[in-house]
Amino acid sequence: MLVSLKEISKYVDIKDLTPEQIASRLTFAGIEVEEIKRSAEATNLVIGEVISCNPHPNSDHLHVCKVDVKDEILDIVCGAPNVRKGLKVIVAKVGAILSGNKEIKKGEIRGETSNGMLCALNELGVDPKYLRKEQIEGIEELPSDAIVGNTDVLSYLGLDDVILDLSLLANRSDCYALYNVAREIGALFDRKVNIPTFNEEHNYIENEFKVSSLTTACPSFYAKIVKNITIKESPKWLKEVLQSEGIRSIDNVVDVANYVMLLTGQPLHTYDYDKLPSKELIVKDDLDEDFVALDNNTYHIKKGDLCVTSNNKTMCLAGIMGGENSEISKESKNIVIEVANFNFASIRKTSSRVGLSSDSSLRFSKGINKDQSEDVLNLTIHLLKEVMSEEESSKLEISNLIKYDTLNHDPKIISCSLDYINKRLGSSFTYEEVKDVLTKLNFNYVKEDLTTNSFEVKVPSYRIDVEGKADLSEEVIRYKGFDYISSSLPNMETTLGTFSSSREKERIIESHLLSLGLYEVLTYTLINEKDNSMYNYFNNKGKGLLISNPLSEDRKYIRKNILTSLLRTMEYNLNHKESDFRIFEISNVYNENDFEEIHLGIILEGNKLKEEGIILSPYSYFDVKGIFESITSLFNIDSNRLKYKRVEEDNKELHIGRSAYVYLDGKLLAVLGEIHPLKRSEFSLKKENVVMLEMNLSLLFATRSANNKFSEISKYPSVRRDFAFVISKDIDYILVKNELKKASSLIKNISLFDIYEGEHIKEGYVSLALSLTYEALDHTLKEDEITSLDNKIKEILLSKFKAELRG
Amino acid sequence: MDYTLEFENIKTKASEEISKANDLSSLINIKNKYLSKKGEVSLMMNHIKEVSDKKAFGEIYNKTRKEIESLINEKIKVEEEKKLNEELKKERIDITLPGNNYVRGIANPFYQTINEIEDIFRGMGYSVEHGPEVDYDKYVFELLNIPHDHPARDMQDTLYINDNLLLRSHTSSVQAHVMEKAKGKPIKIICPGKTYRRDDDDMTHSHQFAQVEGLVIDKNINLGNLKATLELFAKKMFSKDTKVRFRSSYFPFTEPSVEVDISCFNCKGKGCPICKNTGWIEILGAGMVHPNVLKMSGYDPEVYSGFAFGIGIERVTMLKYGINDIRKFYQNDLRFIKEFKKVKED
Repeated sequence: MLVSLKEISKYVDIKDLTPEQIASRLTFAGIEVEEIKRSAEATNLVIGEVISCNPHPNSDHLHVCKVDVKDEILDIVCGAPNVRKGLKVIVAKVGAILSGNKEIKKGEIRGETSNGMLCALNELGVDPKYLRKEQIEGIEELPSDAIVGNTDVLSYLGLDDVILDLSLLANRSDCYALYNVAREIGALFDRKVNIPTFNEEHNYIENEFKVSSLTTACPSFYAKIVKNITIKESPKWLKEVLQSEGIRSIDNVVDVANYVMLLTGQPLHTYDYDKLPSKELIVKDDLDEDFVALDNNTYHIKKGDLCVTSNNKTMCLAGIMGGENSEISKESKNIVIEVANFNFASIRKTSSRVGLSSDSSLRFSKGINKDQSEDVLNLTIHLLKEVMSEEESSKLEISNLIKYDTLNHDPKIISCSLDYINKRLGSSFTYEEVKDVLTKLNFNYVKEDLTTNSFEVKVPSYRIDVEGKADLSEEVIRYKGFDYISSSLPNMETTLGTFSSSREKERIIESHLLSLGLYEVLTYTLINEKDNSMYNYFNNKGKGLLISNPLSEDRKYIRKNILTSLLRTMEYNLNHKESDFRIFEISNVYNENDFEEIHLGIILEGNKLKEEGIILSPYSYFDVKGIFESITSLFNIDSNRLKYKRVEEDNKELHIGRSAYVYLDGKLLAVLGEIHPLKRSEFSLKKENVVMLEMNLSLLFATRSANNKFSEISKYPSVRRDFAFVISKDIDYILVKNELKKASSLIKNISLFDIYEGEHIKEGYVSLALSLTYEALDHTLKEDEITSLDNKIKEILLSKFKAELRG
Repeated sequence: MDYTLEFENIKTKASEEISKANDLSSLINIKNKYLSKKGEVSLMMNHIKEVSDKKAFGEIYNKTRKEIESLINEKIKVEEEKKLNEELKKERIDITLPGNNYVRGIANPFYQTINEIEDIFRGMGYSVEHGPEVDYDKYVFELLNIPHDHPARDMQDTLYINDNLLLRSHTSSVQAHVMEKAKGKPIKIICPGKTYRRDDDDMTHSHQFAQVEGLVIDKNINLGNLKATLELFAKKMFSKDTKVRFRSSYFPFTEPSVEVDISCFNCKGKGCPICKNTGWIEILGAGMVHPNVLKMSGYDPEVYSGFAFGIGIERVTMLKYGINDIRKFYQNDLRFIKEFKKVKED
């Protein structure tokens, strides 16, 4: 919202205040001033008259002019197409600083002296969007009565205004009305505000014309008919106000309607009375038809869109834009002025659906003051008279008020107390202080009880945001300033700061992985369809959740896994010459049924390094498996509960020989392994090793872990026996280990200490060396017990696994 | 006959030889020369027959033997250490070569900020809660006093899955969830989490960003309590002398609503590019929980009151470290992340 301080000063005295003071006070009171703009910025200007104008001898478009500026005659070379003898012009003299810090210097243009410049308004800083094409292409043409030698050019042009650009929050839509901004400034600076009211008498009674509404979305519709109007250019003052406010001048009637909207916040619409097909305006919301609006575009009206109709034809897309069919033109003689209330939600919906918004729809969709319709019409009539000559306005025939109104116009009353306000704010205002503030903000006290310091106030009709006593507390504090509240910590029962259980566990894993040297990354939840279709192994075979109003195809799907995002992160870094890294991310993922799970993703890329890049070894399956196991052991998950299963042979994303699923109590806990060679090109990989892990942390967190129980350490010596044997590679190590473990309760521990394949071992076989620890809690193992255990182990290896014992 | 002098001479001779010896083999030779069965000291034993005070002779003999032996052993020890040292010198490595890699990884600064904020509030007795990112309209808007068609919905362009289900546009949605669970009991929580809006990504906007929501509800909670809480937070998060300032603002779910500025930690209020020469930096939005919000979630606004605040994670991190582009958090350029290998201050 642009606010002309020149306009504001008509209603409240702000002479002694700087724009900065006003802006700062407003901003702290909740009405943010985003920018303070001057309507034009230029120095050393004077009004001149072109007394001669000849073509430049060395140019086909420049002119050499002599310009009279009263004290002297200046030689100026001008390139504007409209420069001509006799024209009154704006002259920037040598030394002038124009918009954009452009300095005018004495000079020569193609051999001809030029001591100054003839200006267009945009060169003085006027936004070109308010100017006509010819005003931008040429120099500004001043009226013939402009006084040559006048150096107060900006003020002559009405460009000496200061504009506050307000960034209004949704609650202060009342400040889309200049009157209300004036009221606010008046209140904040404790000044009297004079908002004029007019009581315009009608001079004929309209018996025929009717207005009404067939929908609750239009609860009131006021109108007046004005006949014998004269449509012409607006007077200079009105054009200047509109320009300051960022609105282009059209003609006197349209300009008045816009000006009234700026002042009161109430959008108006005017119809050509003679173009209406019937003597009625009825608001409906059940039409389905094409409608040509004032902007010459056709919009399709659907059921639910509010329309102002006449003879069942849409004349106006209510609150948004009028129709071509009843548009006011230069020939119009009689008009209907509409002041209606349209439901904000309805206007918002239609405006966004058809993609059409206007100053009017903006105001309606934020909500307007519903109690000022008659005043608005009176102001409009008053101004219409002002923009016509006395003779023209004496011919006007003004109807009585024609209205349809179902609204309750009783004022809103709020009961409140001093105690409530101070308790809510943590302040210690006196009753008088509060009363003073609320009164200045036009909340009138209608009832007071000084024994309890409670009171009732009437909410000013334009403050549609104020609903209850909490709002009154805000009014007090925003007016007084927040320095009045005393800062003290909440006086509550002392509680222990805790984490939710999943957050606590997440932080344990995060810290663990950082300690292992992994980097924690952050990737987007929204990804594209292709990425969302890869690396899905957890109950997420469906399409997943997709956004119905995505910004782009790239951000359409809510991801079901983390791996793809991490692979993309890897790709980014490889492309930026980073390599040999390990990264992880813990994030929510979602499956089809908006079921949220916390997942952990890990990528190890390239080689394990010493510092500075000496390669130790390439990352392998066993690195991710090791990290995985370190996490399950952090949570005390007994390794017996974990089952490894090789990935399917038709898997095209993971190396089928070097990847696994891990099940915890039968549920998929993790998938880990090496990237499938066929997927390398998808992530721009060349020869790099890439291993990865995705783990369902929600499952891990929900799983009961083993309790840490102390088990007795044997007082008797244990015996360590080593077995080396050759075994088929088809047999998984874990099977052997589990089987041996089952052989006797005296076997305390089994550990693998050597694996060998290659020379001297036949193809498809591997040599394993195990170290077994025998131990009894209650006695020292005897020689025969040990031998019998040895034999049992050998027997299992030989018969069960067809192993061949070595040396 | 007195052999004392004799023993003395042998000892002197031996000790001279020992001190001259400079390798192990000559020391062993010396040992043999004096102490072996045919050694000079041993041979002296032959004279025992000739002396009357055999005990005294024996004592001198043993003493001499021991003394020479210990002299030799000491010298052997010295020589052995010398030899070991020579060997160790040969095994020397370049002590400036890099050590094996046990370096801790680094978290994207985004997470560092979340953890820091969590720890600050946990220290004040807050519990850290969690709320869903994919949530129902009811929790994200309706229960927060933002009914359908409310103008405030303009403030946040939301990403919808369907009419009812959406990606939350603020963490304030957690307020309704927490109140629903707390069933009228006092509340003191924060909730960090990702949020989403229908924004094009640029230097200062991101369709995904994160907030930490705070909510305190009890009898007698006031705006001054909010101020003190945020002052404590700002001092911990930025610097001890940070000041906090409120400006009136608007959120549908708080009344009064405030924008919270902190005094610029960079220039201490003198004016610099970080604070755009104002001395103050806008850091978060907050306010007193709107009576309607309390009522809808089962708290009597005549009895209970509360405050809520929402801190932008990326914004705080960007300010704190002078990061100029929000997209950097999501790009995960490892060179960027490696910049944040910082030791936590106090």
